[in-house]
Amino acid sequence: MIDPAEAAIYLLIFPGFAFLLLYALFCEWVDRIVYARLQNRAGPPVFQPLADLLKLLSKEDIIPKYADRVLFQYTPLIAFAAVMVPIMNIPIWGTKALYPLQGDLILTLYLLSIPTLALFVIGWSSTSLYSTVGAFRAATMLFGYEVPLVLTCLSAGILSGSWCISDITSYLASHPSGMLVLAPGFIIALIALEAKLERPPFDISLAETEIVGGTLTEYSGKKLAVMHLVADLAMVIGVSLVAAVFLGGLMVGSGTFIIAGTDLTPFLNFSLYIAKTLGIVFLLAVIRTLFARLRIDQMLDFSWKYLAVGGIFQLFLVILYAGMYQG
Amino acid sequence: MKETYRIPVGPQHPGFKEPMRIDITVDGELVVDTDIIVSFNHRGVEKATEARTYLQNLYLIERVCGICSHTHTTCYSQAVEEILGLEIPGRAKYIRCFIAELERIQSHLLWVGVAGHEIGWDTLLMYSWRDRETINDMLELISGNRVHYAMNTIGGVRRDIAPENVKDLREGLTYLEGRTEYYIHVITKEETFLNRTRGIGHLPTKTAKELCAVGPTVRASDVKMDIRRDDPYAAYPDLDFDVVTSDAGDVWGRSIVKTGEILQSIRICRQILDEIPVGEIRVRAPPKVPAGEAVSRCEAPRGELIYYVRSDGGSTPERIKIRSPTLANWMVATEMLKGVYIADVPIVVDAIDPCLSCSARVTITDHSTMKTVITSLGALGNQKQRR
Amino acid sequence: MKKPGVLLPLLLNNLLKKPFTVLYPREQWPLPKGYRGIIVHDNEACIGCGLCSKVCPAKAIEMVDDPEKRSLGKDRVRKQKPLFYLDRCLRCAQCEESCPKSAIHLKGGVGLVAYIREKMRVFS
Repeated sequence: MIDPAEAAIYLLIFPGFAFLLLYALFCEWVDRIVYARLQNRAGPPVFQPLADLLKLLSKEDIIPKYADRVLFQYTPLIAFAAVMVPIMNIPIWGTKALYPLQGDLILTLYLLSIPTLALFVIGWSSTSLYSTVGAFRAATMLFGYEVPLVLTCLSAGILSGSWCISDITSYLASHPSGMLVLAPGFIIALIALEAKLERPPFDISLAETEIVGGTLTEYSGKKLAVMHLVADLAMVIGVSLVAAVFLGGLMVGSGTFIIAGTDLTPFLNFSLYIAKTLGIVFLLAVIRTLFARLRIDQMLDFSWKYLAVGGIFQLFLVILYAGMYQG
Repeated sequence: MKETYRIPVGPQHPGFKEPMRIDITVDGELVVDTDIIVSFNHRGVEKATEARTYLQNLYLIERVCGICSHTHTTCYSQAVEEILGLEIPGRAKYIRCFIAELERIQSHLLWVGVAGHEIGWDTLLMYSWRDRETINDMLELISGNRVHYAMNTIGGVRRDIAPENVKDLREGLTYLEGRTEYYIHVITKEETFLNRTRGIGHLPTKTAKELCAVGPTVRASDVKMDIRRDDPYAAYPDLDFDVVTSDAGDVWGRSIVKTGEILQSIRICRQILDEIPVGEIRVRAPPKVPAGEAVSRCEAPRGELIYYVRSDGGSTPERIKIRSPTLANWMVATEMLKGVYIADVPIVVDAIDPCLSCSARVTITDHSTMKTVITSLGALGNQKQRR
Repeated sequence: MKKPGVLLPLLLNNLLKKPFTVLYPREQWPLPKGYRGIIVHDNEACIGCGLCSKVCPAKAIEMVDDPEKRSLGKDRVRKQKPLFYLDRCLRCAQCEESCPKSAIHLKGGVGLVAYIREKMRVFS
């Protein structure tokens, strides 16, 4: 049985909401400072994302006259709730997540696409020209990156024989050569993740120079703060998912790190988790700096020609490997 | 029944650096019709010049535009010197050309950065503006200010290039040459940049000539038009350089022309530093200008700049008319916007390098009701002349 | 032939170098010798001729009565002295050029800040 006090600490403080929020702000800072240093600039200090959040929370909240009031005001909260849930299913301090259940890979992928649908609904209910164009673009982009991302994650599931993220991680921890088989999938998932999080070069629905603010044009104050936080949280969850599913083998087994009789292996695994996620955030920041923004038709072109084909190739590779070595 | 939207892009828009309004009618993502409205930045400069002396007008005219300020004062000084019948010394002509070429390099580097920003590539913006700091430091060394150099006066230039600064200037030029060659390498090879600029905003040569486009916009459509060659002024008859053209005719062609012109400007600057004659830098000009009129043309970084100055014998001019290059390029912008996607609208408009401070010089006033009317350039052509 | 990611060597090179940003006001950028800064007026050399006020394009110099009435030799006194509107000054240095006694220079540096606009109307 689940102890309520223990569950409350796990859910609210660590690795639940408090840790998640702080880590999301920290990851945003890492992303911004890597972006700045790659461009030979100084970059913001550590508390900048928190300062931006507090500033947005104190600004005026404007609702346009013709907007749909209910959808406009409450959609961010739905996205916020949806994106915080998967932390319970992703292993952080070892191979076992907080509350693993069968099929939580599919559940996490599904919950991660709720922010995109929320962006579409927000853009649509704002009834402003710029946000409508942005909403179209957000919905159109879904056709591009969902398939490669799901294909590669499912390949990892097929390799380990289960749809549970914790099982995938424990399989990769005991068979590290599986990570080499999943290497092409890792690269494809990285690019598809960049598109999912609406970051340059795929920030087509939030393109500042073309359609002012895109889907979030009419947002201000508390709602914009929540949407920025949703973007950061989605980044943390997405990066943790990729780290668990593709790099899950970089872990030490229990009992290898003992000091003064207590098993400190979870701390070691937790530091490895932080290192892995920050490494992936670094790679995402490099991709963000390198490329110009793609047009929507170019993005769909690229996704179907290269990413989806790569996903199918990864699937074949996994099936071959499974047939040859797993009997 | 096709549903088309009419989206106003501007006058307040993060994609444009200055207020202009472009109403695009879109069908999905494709632009089917455009309508451009300028004149949000009309300041009445031409009327203000009539209340100031010729010397005070120098500083007012300089502030018509921040990026091509030296070209404006050069053109104005040349027109006034023509009315006065003054011949300025050779060293002054060479220094005027030197500052003009440095300004051209600075303006084109700014354009490279802004083009990067329009297509969502902020890295190019940061790097090209970091290198632009070198030019600003060079100009500050010579003239004392990074923008609005105030080097020209009627009768010559006000400051000289000190011999102890020449070494820093040469080092700056060498550094910029290396960086510009790197940027040319980037814009010819980087795939995402080529995807956004190749084939976008195509302007055929015939249309460019018919609609009287000027500057790098028309040079990218394979027309060799450059005032420094066709109607040379200052020290340009003695200097050796190539006029850079490209036959691509799209936004990519314009970026090739602009970066090529930076290399040519560096070549001209080196020639000036080697061959500059010694001597005086200014001659005395009388405060009162005799009656007369003059037209002078210069090659601003954006194209051909025309000044008409008329004097009636007093110490203030009677009429100054400025035809800046961006005003000539607006018709071409309308043509180029047909058939592009929404995502390409900012980069296509930005390819003509609009400088609204230069171009807003026309406002229509209805005399019978004493009201100002803002109308489109297309409607202007259809209106009858009313007295 | 085109390839993506051309800037990568440049970016990785700059990752660990010192940033190009000058963190003003902690660090300062050195000003060149001829920099046109704030107006500095030499009261002893000024004869109150008013030429600077006539040529200024921004009306930043106004001649006001001089209560000091300093002697200029040969039974003449200085009747007027210039009042500078530093907030209107364009830094064009036309006053420095036109002054017959070289009493005005533009070398006061950068950083003109005041809470009250009237504090920017000074005599030197």
